[in-house]
Amino acid sequence: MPTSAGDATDASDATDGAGEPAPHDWPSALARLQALRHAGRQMGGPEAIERLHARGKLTPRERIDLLLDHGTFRELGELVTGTIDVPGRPPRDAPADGVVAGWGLVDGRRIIVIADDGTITAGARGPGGNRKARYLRDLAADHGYPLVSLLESSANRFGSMMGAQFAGPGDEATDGIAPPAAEWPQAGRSPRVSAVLGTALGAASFQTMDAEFSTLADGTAAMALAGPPVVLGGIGVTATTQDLGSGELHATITGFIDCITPTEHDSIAAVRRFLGYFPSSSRELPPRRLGADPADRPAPELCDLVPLDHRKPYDMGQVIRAIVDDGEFLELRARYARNIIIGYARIDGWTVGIVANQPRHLGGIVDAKAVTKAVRFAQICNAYNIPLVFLQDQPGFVVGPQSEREGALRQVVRLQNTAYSATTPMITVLVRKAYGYSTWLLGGRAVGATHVMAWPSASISLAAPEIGVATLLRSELERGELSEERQQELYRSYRSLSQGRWAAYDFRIDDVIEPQHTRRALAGALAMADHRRVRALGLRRRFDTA
Amino acid sequence: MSPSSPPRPSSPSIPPGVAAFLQHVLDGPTLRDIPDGTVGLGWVGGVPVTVATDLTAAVPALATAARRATPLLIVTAPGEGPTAAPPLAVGHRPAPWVPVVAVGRSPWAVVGADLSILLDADGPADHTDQDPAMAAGLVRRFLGLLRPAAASPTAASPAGASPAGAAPARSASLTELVPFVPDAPYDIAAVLDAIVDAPGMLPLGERGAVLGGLARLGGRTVVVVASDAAHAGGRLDPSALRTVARLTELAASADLPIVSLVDSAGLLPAAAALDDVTTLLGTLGSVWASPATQVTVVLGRAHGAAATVLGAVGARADIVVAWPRPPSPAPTPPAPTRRARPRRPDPAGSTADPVDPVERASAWAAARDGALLDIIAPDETRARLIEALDVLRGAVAFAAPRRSDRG
Repeated sequence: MPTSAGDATDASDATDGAGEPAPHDWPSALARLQALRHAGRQMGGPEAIERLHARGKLTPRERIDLLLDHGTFRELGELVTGTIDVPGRPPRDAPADGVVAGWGLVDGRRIIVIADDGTITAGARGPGGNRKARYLRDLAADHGYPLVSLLESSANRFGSMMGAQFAGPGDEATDGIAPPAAEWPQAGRSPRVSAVLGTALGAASFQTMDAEFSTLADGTAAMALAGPPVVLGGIGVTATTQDLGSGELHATITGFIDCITPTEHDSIAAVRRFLGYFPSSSRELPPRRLGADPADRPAPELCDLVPLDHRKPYDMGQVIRAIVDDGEFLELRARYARNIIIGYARIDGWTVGIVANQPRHLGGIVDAKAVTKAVRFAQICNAYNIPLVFLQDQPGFVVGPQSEREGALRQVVRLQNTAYSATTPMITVLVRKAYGYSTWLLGGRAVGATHVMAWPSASISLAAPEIGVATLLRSELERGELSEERQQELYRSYRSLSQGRWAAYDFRIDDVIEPQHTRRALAGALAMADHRRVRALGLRRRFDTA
Repeated sequence: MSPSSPPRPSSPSIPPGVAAFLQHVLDGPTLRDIPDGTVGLGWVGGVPVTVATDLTAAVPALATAARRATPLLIVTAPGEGPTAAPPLAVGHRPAPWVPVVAVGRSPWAVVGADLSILLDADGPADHTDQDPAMAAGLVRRFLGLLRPAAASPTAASPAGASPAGAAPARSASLTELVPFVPDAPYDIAAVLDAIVDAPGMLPLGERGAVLGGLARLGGRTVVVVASDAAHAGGRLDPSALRTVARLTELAASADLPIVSLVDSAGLLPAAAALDDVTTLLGTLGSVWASPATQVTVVLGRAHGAAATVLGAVGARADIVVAWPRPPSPAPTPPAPTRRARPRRPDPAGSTADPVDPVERASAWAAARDGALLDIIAPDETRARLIEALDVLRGAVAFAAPRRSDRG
């Protein structure tokens, strides 16, 4: 290594442009590089890290360690250093300018990760941090990598956005303003994941609403359009961040977040699980992972789980877990619109998106909230060529004045349009009740389902037999001419005609299957439908916001 | 192809000099389908190649090669040309793009090819004064580089580890090869040998302040563009600009990534003169319009328009990193004549001292501002390049518009 006097620079008192004495030879330059990297990894310093830990939170580097396969993180922009300039205090450095970002592997597949640093200005980004985040966001979009944002705040520093420069995004790197819609061009290209691990306000909440998958650590994180100071200044209401956007609120009232988890560790574990189901981009098929669970494994417990009496409830979640590989099911928005279940699982190694009615809640009826929950999920599965498996046990769309006022009609048509435009395979099992127009729209033959099967317990009709009787014999009933005998006769007739076997005789469904062999039948249908997914590769399909 | 095919290179319709070369380059006597002795099909290193043995047949042979999706090998006899115009230098290449190799004894016969070789003659070509055996070796190597590597890396490799069998041409520390001080000369060819896979780079283009060509890096073929600091401080002259433009177009056509090594003090004053503005603008146009992915390593200086042409600044490169060499004074920019844009008042009343423009030119300052992705130790260069190429390999996944708005 050249260290002789001839190699040394003669400007020994010069600085390097970053305010430090300029290295004068290779050893000093490399030592300087190591020192800068080490300093950057200290983030906001030991005290700030300790404060974060005391609140049950992790540093961005700890979060990234949990997310990525060991030793695979390649940090970019590690030497970026911002300035925290608070009036009345001396300026100080912001290592990495509040954003730790780079690429790494999850289960051997590359992803891009951007993590806000809660040890520095509560996670608010500086211009350099914004520049890094923007660069990596574009890299993920251009090259088809999943983008995982570990959000602590992701807000810009408030002061930098005051004034007329807010009229337009301009130079994001200089102004420190990230246009909220910047994530949208990536929709349907490669998966975007938002893990809300702090307070996600403004642009961070928009980003989370648009993400293909979102998690929120309950208790230590919140998501809202605006934070307490803006709410107080705007409408004079005092509220905490938890009041505005707690995990409980999003779990039960808004349904905006896919997984509310008790801890950050669980949130990051959920992100890893989600990524395992998804392709890196919509130009690829989801990874197939064959495990030890054989495709033809019978599930005799299904006959015990599902009562033949249509009025008796049961837990559809148990049915799902009996069918899928190793009983593993990543359920989304579990506490919102509980009358429908959505989530990802594997059958014979294939990733599937499952949409199932839950008879244990409201009899599995399809209401506006349930449709809202199902539609976006189906759109995302369609965008990423993930086959949809429908398990139907539903009495139809909810009707009545309240439902009309809630705009159920709009949601029904959204479901219709989503189902009709889907290119991904749809495979449907009619478990018990399959009544009304929703029978078609939740993976029916009428909307182009690849495969429709029914259990012997299935009952298929425009309406439940008792409703059919009441509707068709209404005038006789009103005139008092309807005998109990005729009513029962008609009921039995409709009940018989609704049996799934009649649909199979006409080839309106593909088959009637034994419940215990549902897994085998689904695996076979998925294998047959694979060519349909290959045909759809490269089509770009967008989806609604959460 | 029947193994009992007659050895057509010795056909009386092919000039003896051409036949002699074909016997060197073809995989045995396998040239076929030459009704008139001008266009045929042979194999070079297992690659099917359309062969033209007459300069007047070059253009129709190119159409044939495109239809067959094979490279075109044009081998011409002494004394051929000039035709009305150099056959490969005019008009558009038919789609799909296929590589064209021209071997002859006259510059006229080889100009415009992706690999041009002059047999026993000197002149403007990629390789001159070659004997038939050496020329055949160059052709085989060029066509081999344009084939996917047999052991192309597939698994994501964050550490940038070389795949099995891929090792650099020279085992040496780059800090030994490159002096720390910015203006000291060093051998860029040796630097390249320490970075790319053995047997090193196949040079293409004119000799000048840019050394360019094809090489494999971690098993993946790349287009290399490296400024030569020992040649007028790496200042780009018109020939260097032409080389950059040509290699950039080759990368785009062959869907290859560009690896750019930059240590350039700007443009040679002649290149900034009016006569050469067309060359400069043409090069910039080629560079900016190219969809090829690019990774740039700034080894030292990256000044002026050369920094843009070589992808050290601006949005041309996908990944830009630098070595921690000290800044050298850039030419003092002329005083601005345009009225400066009014600065937005800083409510915090920042009193930060203005930074010396020379100091601002350092890699440290650029990395601190986020204008550079990283500063790397020189000996990390090969691994980091392999890793970056692995990350960028999915560039064709989405036909995104050029990232002109990337910060």
